[in-house]
Parts: sequence; C-alpha cells; structure tokens
Amino acid sequence: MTDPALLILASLADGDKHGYGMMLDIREFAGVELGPGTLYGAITRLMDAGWIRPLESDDRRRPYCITALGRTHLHEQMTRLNQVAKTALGRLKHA
Amino acid sequence: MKRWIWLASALYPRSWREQYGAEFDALLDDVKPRWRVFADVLGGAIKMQMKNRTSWMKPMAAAAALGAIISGWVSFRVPPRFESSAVISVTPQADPLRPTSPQVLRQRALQRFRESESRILSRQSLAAIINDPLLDLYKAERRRRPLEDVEDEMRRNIHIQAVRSANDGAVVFRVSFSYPDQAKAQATVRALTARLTEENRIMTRDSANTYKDLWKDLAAAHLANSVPAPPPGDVIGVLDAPSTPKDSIGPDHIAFVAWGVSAGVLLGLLAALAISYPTGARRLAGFALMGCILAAAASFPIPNRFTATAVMEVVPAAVTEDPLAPPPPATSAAEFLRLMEPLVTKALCINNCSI
Repeated sequence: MTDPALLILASLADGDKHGYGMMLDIREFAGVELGPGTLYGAITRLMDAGWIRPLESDDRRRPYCITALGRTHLHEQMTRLNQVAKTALGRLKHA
Repeated sequence: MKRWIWLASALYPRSWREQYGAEFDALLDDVKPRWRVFADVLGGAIKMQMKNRTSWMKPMAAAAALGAIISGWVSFRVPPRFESSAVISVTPQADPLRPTSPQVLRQRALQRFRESESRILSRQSLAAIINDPLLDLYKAERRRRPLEDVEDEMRRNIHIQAVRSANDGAVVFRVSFSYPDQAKAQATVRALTARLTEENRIMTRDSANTYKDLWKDLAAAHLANSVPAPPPGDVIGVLDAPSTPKDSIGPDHIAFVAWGVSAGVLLGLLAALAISYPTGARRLAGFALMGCILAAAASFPIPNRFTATAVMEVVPAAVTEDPLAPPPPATSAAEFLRLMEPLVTKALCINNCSI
C-alpha cells in the first residue's frame, strides 16, 4: 500500500502528529519514505475532503488529527483491502 | 541544496503557502536536504500549481464558450459573399512590317494590359461602376462612408491576375469580383471586362493616331514619302463569360469561431488573473487609466492632420524593339536618327509614359 493519503490516515489513527512525525511514523510502520511535497500534497487533499483537521499550536510544526469522517473512510478502505488481501492469499494457497 | 529546496518551495501557489507555508518550511528544516527531496518538493509545487490552475480553467472555458457562441452568431449575421469571375485573353497581333519575337509581344501585351488595369481601377472608373444605376453597388456603405473609402474597398474586392500564357504571345487573365449579391457580382465582372476591352480599343486608337501624327511630321520635314500602317494593337477576347456564383466564399464561420475562442480564452485569463491578484490588477488598471487620461489630454493641443491619397502608375517605356520604330529610311542611318530624336522622344512620352 503506497497511497500517501491512506498512509497518513493510518498514521493519525493512533494519535495526532505533525508533518515530520507522520513521515517518521510512515517510514517505520510501512517502510515508505514520503517526501515533503508528496506528504503535503496528500495533507491538502485530506483537508479538502474533511478527513483530517489541524490542531491549535504555538509551534510552527502544526499537528493534525483524524476526523470521524476520516476514520470511517480509513475503516472502509482497510476492510476492502483486507478482503482483497484475504482473497489473494487464499487463491495463492490453492494455486 | 537547501537553497534549491527553498526555491522550489517558493513555487507553491500563494494561497497554499498562506495556509501551509510556515509548517511546510518547518518540515523542510527537519528533513535532510537531498536531490530527492528537491525533486519531490518541485513536483509537489508543480502539481499544486496545476490544481490551482483548474480554478482558472472554469472562467477561461466559460469565456471561450461565450466567445465561440458570440462569434458564431456574428458570422451568421455577416452577409455571405459571392465571387464571380471571367477569363479573358489578350492576344497581341503580329506586325508584318516590324516582326518581333513572341516573348516581346507577350511582354508588350502585359505592359499594355497593366496600363488598362490601372485605368479601370482608378477612382473615376470605379466611381462610374459604383454609381451605375443598374449596379448601384455598396449602397449602405456609401451612406456611412466617403466614396473614396468605398472605392478602396471595391478595389480590394477586385482581383485581376495572369493565369497562363500561350506560345503565340497571348496572355490569359482571370478577372474576379466578390460581393454580397450574386447577380451584382456577375454584372460587375461583366462591366469590368467591357471596360478593359474598351480601354484596349482606346489605347490602340490613340497609339495609331500618335503614329500617324509622327509620320505626318516626318513627311512635312521631307524625311518620308508615305505613311506606313501603324502597329496593330492587342485583341481582347472573353474566353469564359462572367460566372454565376452559386456557393458563397465567406464569411469563414470556422475562422470566426476560432477568433472568438481565442479572444474568450484571453479575456478569461485576464479575468482569472484579476481575480487571483486583485491588488496587482487594480494597480495595473489604475496605471492604464492614468495613461489613457494623460494621452487623451496630450492629444488635444496637437492640431488635426488630414491625409489625402492618390494612386499613380508610371509605365516605363519599352527599350527593346520599340513598336514605333520606323522602317529603314531612305537617308543615312546617322542622319535619320539625329533628325528623328526629338519626334521619337515626344511620341514615346505621349504614348508610353502614362500617369
């Protein structure tokens, strides 16, 4: 899975993070290194969709949190992905 | 490298930078500056600019569609134009007294025809055609504009061009005229060909008279005993009578719509720019308005100027195988030429130098 938007949602699912925090987390749990341009491109899309929102901060590094809508979307996507993964693995076993 | 990454980050749209700029810069401070990061930031800036441009696309597309509709409507409001054409041949007649090559005959015929053409395209000639009660051309235009302007427009709508030449020295011309009325276009071409034929007849007659006068002068000076036959003129024949135009030649609806779309895109782009950069647009509009006011104010003290134009044509005299060259005289060649010089010069000026 390399979709930056889903990776960001997955990263924010266990807590609020700022941009650099998301980059480190995604590299750790998915092994994908997102560049700053890719990361903020995805953040912009997620903000526009209302799946994440910024939190108040005095620091330049503004943290983001996942919204309820974002959680629902992430859940749907992961369920579908899981189903695809199960089907593919099952077929591989029988092949 | 850090500098390059900063430059790339500056390429993000201004509105985006207002929202995310500070935190994005903070992230750039945290990441290790590498070429890969630079490429990623540059790619992100380009994508964001493209995304931002899509908001421009809507007014541009709307303005282009509006331009296409308006120009298409205008193109159908413009009356269609029809072109009638006739094909005429100009055949120079061989002169048994002064035999010349077909090339010289053709050159001479072309020269005479161009002279006739300049006469029928003169203001006087065009005014006569325009005001001919049977034709009554450019009626609406004559109400709005001076006759000279209408004559210029008619001149632009007349095309006379050589299409081919034959071995016997004959040259074939196509005479065409375009006008919103099919019947009038055809009648005008008929009038033009008739005038060309008439001009040719007048030129031949004048040339023969000049030739006869010259030889009468020579006879009076006891330099010649008889008057030889003058050189024959050219024969103008109509190969194809003025055509009846069926299909219109304009306006070109596609060209109209293309212009409308281009203008719409340009205006839409300007509108989008003005919306995106309202301060700059206001400032620019202010400067433009101030420039207009200053230019208008500066123009008042300058006195009005009027320009009058006339079309002139100087046809150079033929230097080879002059049609007026007489048969060999009885006196010696040197003596004959010395006596003939003033008369020949006079004849050449009368016959070949037309203004």
